[in-house]
Parts: sequence; C-alpha cells; structure tokens
Amino acid sequence: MIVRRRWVSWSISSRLIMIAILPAFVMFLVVTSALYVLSIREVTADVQERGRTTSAVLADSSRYAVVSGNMAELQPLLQQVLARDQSVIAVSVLDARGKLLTSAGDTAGASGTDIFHLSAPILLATLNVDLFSASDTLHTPSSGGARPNDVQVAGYVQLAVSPKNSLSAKRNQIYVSALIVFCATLASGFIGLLLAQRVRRPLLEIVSALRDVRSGTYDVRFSAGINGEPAEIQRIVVEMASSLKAATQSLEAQVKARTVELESALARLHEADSERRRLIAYGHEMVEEERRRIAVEIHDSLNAALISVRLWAADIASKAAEANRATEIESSAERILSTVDVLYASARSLVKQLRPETIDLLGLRGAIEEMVRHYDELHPDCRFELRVSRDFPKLGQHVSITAYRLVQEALSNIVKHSRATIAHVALENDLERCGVRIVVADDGCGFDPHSRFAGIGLIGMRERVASAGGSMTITGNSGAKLIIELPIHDQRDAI
Amino acid sequence: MPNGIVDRRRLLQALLLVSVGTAGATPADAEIRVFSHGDSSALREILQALGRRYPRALIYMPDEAPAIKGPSINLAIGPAALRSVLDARRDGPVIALFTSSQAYRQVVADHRPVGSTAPVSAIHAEAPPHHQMELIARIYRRRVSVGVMLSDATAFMASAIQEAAGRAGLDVVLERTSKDAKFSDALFRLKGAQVVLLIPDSSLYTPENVRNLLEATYRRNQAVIGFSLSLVNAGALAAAYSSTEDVLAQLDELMGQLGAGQVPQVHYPRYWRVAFNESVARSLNIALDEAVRLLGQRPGG
Repeated sequence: MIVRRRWVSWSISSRLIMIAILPAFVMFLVVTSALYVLSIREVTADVQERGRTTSAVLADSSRYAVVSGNMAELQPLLQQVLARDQSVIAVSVLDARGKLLTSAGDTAGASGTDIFHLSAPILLATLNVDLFSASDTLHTPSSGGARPNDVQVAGYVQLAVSPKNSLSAKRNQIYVSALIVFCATLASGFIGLLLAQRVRRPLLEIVSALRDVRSGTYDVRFSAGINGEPAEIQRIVVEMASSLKAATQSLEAQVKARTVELESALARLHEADSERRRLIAYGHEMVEEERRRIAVEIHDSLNAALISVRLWAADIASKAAEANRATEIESSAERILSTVDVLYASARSLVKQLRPETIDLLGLRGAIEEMVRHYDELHPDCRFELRVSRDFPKLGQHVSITAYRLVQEALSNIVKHSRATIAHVALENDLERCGVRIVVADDGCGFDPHSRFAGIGLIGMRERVASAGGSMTITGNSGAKLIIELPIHDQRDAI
Repeated sequence: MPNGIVDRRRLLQALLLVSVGTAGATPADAEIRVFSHGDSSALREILQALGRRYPRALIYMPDEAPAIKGPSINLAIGPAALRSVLDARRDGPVIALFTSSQAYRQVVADHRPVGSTAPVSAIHAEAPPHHQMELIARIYRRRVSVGVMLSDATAFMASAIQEAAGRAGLDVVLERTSKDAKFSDALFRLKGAQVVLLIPDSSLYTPENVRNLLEATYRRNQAVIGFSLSLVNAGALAAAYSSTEDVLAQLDELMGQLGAGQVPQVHYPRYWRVAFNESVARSLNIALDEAVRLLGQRPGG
C-alpha cells in the first residue's frame, strides 16, 4: 500500500526511468541467478557423467594391464587422465578381489562431501573362438563362431571426482557472463532512457498545457514532430481546451447577463422593499395621526360635553335639595355624576391608548416609565422594571413614537405569551452609533423569532425599526431578549 | 535309448538320404560309417556334405554302431568322435576329420588301443605351417619376422615351422613355453616379431588369453595370423583355412588310397583358402590386393 502510494506520487520522469531500468535489472538478477544455479547443477552432473565415462574408458583401457600385470604401462594413462581432467582427484585400479594394483592422484584427500566416488568394472569377455581344443567335439576352421561371450570381472577402476575445480572455473565464467549481462542491462537501461525521453517530452508538454487550461489559459500549443498516441493526446488536449474556452466564454456571457438581470431584480426588490417600508411607515404615521386626531376629537368634544353634563347634573342635584322629591332627584343626579365620571375616565383611557400624551408632556423617558409602571400594576404575576441611562438623549418625535410603540408591543407580548415572572426594560445611549439602544428582556419561556408563527406583531416591530432606520435583534432560547437600536432622529423628524 | 538321441540320429539319417550329389570314390564293398558327437550347425553342414559325396554312408553315434562283418571305413568327425571310435576298437581304418593335429596326436596317443593295427589317419583341421607362411609372405611381400609360441604338445611342429619360414623367405622366432608359465611373459618375449602366428594348442591358448593376445599384439602393431575363421572374426589379421568341401575333396583321395589298398597317411589339408579381417588390415596399414585374397588351392584347381 505504501509502495503503491509512493509510486502514484512519482513524476513522469521518475516512472519512465523506473520503467526503463527496473525490468532490465530484474531480468539481470533472474538470469544471473538462474545461470548460477543451473550452472552449479550442470557442472556437478557433468563431472559425475564425465567421471562415469572416464572410469568406463579407463576400465576398458586397463584390461590388458590388469590381465598382464603390467601396471607400469598404466601409470602414464592415469597421470594423463589426472592432468587432462581437473575434476578427477584420484584414480585407483584394483583387482577382482579389491586389492589395489595401482593408483594416481591424491587418494588420501579423496574424501569430503563434494567428492563423488565412481567405480567401473574391468570386464573380461572370453572370445567365442574355436581354439581346436582336444575336448571340443569338432574343429571347424571355417566356422565363424556364434556363441555369446562369457564375461567375468577382472578388476575395478575407481575414480574420485570433485566438481570443485570445475565449479571454480564455472564461477569465473558466470562472473564474466554476469558482467556482460550487467553491461547489457545498463545499455538496455540507457537505451530505454533515451527512448523514454521521446515519450517524456510530449507528456510534459501535455501536463503543462493541462495546467494552463486549469488556470484558464486555453490557447495551448505543442511542438511538432510527435507521432502516435502522444500526438493524439495532444490533439485531444487542444480540442478540449478550445471547447473549454468556448464553453467558458458562453458561460461567462450567460453569467454576466444573469448577473445584470439579478442586479436589476435586486434593485427592484430593494426599491419595492423601500417603498413598502415607506408605505408601512406612512401607514404607521397615518395611524398615529389618526389616533391623535381621534384623541383630540375625543378630548375636545366628548370630554367637553361630558364636563358640561356633569356641571348640569351637579346643578340639578343642588336645586333638587329644595323640593319634596328631592331625594329621588338627588339620587338620579348622583348617578349621572358617577356615570359621567366613568365615561370621562374611559374617554381619558381611550385618548391615552390612541395617543400617549405623556410623550408630548414627559418625553419618551417619562412615557415609558409610566407604561412600565402601568404594566407592573396591572399584572401582579410579573414584575416590570425600567432602567434608563443618565445620558439617554431626547429623541425626535417620530423616533420617540416608534420607540414607545416598540416597547409597548414588547411588553404586550411578554404579558400574552411568555409567562415571565420578571421583565426588564433598559434605555441606553449608544454613542458609537450615535443612537439609542432599547433592551427588553424577560425570564419567560422564550420563543423562536424565525418561526413562521412569530406573529404579525413581531413583523410590525421589524417594519417600524426598519422604517426608523434602526435594527432589531431577538434571542429567544431561554427567556426572550429584544435589542433595538435606533437613531436619535429619523428622516421624518428632519422634515 | 533316449528319445533325444533317436530323434537326432533319425534327423541325421534323413539329411544323408535327401542329400543328392556326386558320390565319392570309396571301396566298393566297404561300409562308410560316420561317427560324430553332439549336434551343431557346423556338424550338420559337414554331414550334409558327406551325404552328398557318400550317399551310402551311415551316421552313428560313437557307441551305437553295431558290430558288423565286412569292410568298413570309419570316419570320425571331431576329436570326441575319434576318441570314442578308438575306444570302441572299431574294425576298419579310421580317418579323423575336423580334428587339429595337436588334438589328433593327443587322442591317438591316449586312446588308440595298444597293439591295434587298424590304420588311423587324419586330415587335420588346421592349415599346414607352409600355407600360413606363404600367406604371411604374400601379405607383407618382404622379409618379416614371425613369432610362434610352442608348448610341449606342439613342439613337434618346430622343424616344420622353421622349414616353412625358410621357404617363404621369413624369419621365425620360436618361443617355447608351457601352460604353467605366464602367458603374458611369453607373449612379451615375442614383441620383436612383426607377425605372430597361432598354432592350435589347447594347452597354450584359452578363450581368456586369446583376447589379451589380440589386444597386446594390436597395441604393438603386430599382425596375428590365426588358424580359423573365428580367430579372424575375433581380431586376427588373416588365416589360411580349409572349408568343408576342401576337406572332403581330399577325403576322396584318401578313400581312393584306401580302395587301392594303401594306408593313407596323416595329412594337413591340401586345399585351402584365406580369410582376412579388413578392419585389422586397415588399422595395421596393410594393403590387401586381389591376388592375396585369392590365395590358396581349390579342389580341382
């Protein structure tokens, strides 16, 4: 696995070098090893075979000497055998009983694991000849003789052979052969490298061209004079680059067109969004204006009328004290008074709801203080607290209204949904942004502000914040925390 | 009588009866008895030839022939038959055929009945010394030395050998030895001779030492002249010998002498021919011309 990983990471040059050299080197090793092993076996077998042949020939040649007893005649032959064949260590000639008749060579040293002892009988075949013996039944000079010859053993030739000397000579031959094969291997590798260069160059050009294509340069060129598969690959790469170039240009044109379309659509979207916000802000403004108008109307007309009714009722009550049905008239008048008081209080509450007049009187800070106190009184299950920084600035009218409504909506949501036991409202001066930061936090059950069930109120809060040019962040994992950042004045305050 | 011997005898009789040929000259009223021993192809050939020449001849095993009255001629084929015929004290002359001179002398000396007057003659199996010497002289065509080993059994041939060598223009080296002496030493002493002539001598030559002799002489580049075809086939350069027809042609002459009332002498074969071992001749660088190949004397020639 490691070797495969390393091979995969090799360069073309390295691979070509390895392809050129490795097979030749492996063949060199295999051929040399095979030659060595086979030669060893061949030499050993050859020495034994030669020994057998030599002993048989010597047996045949020694026959006369053994029979005639002329061992001196045999010595030159034995010495010649020793001189001619280096594998023969010792030669001995024995009679039929095994008694040594003559020997040559190192008979004492003819022992060891690499010594082979061969023996051949010296056979005496009696001739089938008619010798006209008196015991014969017939003397026929014209008879050629046809009986098979009788054979008897006259002695033995023993040969001690060793492949040592032959092996030594063979090893030298093998070394020479190995050197020749090694030189051939080097030559083969060199030729392979030369030939590999012819493959490497076009491959490197192809790699360079592919790199250019990858980097976006599609005008690739290759050297001329290349044939075969590399040339075909080069043609394919050129065609591929050309196709890629055309495709890229087409895609770029499409992307450009789509980008223009998208930018246009985005601009339209932003414009629509801006218009929508403006509409919403306008709507809010109209609503506030209407609320103000209604509040003024209620205050001016209804309250005034109610005050008049009260005055008349008070007058009736005072005049009725003087007549006999004074008690009933007094009672009715008292009821009218109390009803008028209730109506007056309701009217005042409506006016407050429609238009928080405390903003006009006390500013945003005072209005929110009153709101928080009002919620705290109305909802004993939850404690409402307010903290206002000392340097909290005076906001513009529209921003104040926006901030007031935002806090109002936030507190209303806490009451309706959070089941909180404590709620904090904080008004802070945001010097970095030249604005203010309003934080409303509770310990309730929290909610997912991105859920589609977040409610219209939250959407309206986002629209108010956006129309004022601010931002709003809501986290609702454990409890809820609303962070609103608003400018001190919005563009409507500037008008 | 065992069936085997009866069958062989009947076969031999049949061979004689079916043989057709020119009858040889014989004493008219003499029964020709042919005694043989054993059975071999050579013997059958001889008996066939005899049958052609002497259709009336009867074949007997040596101890089978009944005693008959009247003239008879006993032909003993081989030394064993000669021995048996002599032991049987057959009436009539005995002619030994296909028996060597040495064997003949030995058998006659050992088995001829004391006081017997029946003539015993022979045509020896081997060629006489002068034929062998003539052959050597014709092969070499120059004066060469011829070595001959003689034992006590063949010492009688010494003078004949020397005379034959002298007549042929050859030098002869006679080596006296005995069967108890070392054969190789005697042979070694003949190393100076260019040719070794073998004389049939069973006390000297055995199948075991003949091979050594042939090998030793070959090593020394010595030619060996034998006395039989088998020796030539075994490695001798040449031999002067007589074929069966040659011997039987001479037998006719002996028969004629017997018919004329003469007592035939012991003879060497008159008719002879030569045989050569071409391989040995080539290895000894001896060229054999046509004249030497046709050397000899044929019957009727």
